[in-house]
Amino acid sequence: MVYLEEWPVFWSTVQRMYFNKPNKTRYSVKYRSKDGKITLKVTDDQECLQFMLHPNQDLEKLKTINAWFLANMSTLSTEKSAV
Amino acid sequence: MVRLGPDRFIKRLSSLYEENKDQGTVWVTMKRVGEGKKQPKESACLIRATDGRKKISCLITSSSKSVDFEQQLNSLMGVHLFGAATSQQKTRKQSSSYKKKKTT
Repeated sequence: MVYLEEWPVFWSTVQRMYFNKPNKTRYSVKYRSKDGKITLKVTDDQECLQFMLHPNQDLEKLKTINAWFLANMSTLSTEKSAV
Repeated sequence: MVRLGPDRFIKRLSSLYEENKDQGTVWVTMKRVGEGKKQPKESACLIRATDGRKKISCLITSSSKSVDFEQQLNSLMGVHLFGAATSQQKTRKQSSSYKKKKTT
């Protein structure tokens, strides 16, 4: 359970993790409404990465990661897609 | 676990966020799943959502469908998680009233 502070580090590690184990990696968004905390979590059952989104600024980051996972997971092959 | 179509999933997820607006936590999880043993090369994106009580899920199979779904999901999360208004006018109104409240 590692909370990463830097978005570029988190983002590149997530991509590496997914391409290493595309069938094992899962991604989740946790939203706690009481304090507005949004946590991203990506794990392959061995490594676990977490990133806390800023409630006011990080909508674009959430959109990027959602789009990337949806596009990659629903394609026909496991080949790397352009980032 | 209720397996829904993409449109119904978006609606149910929206109501799930709405139900947990003041208190509670909502998880949305995505994972890649193979589409049966006969065609191991084909995969789909399984999306699940839960608030700890209700569970819903949806299977996105082709990348063409995933683009529409992604846009709907992103705007939904924008509204519920970030309070992003659908129109710019609404944002202005909200922000001005917020400022007034703060100053008084």
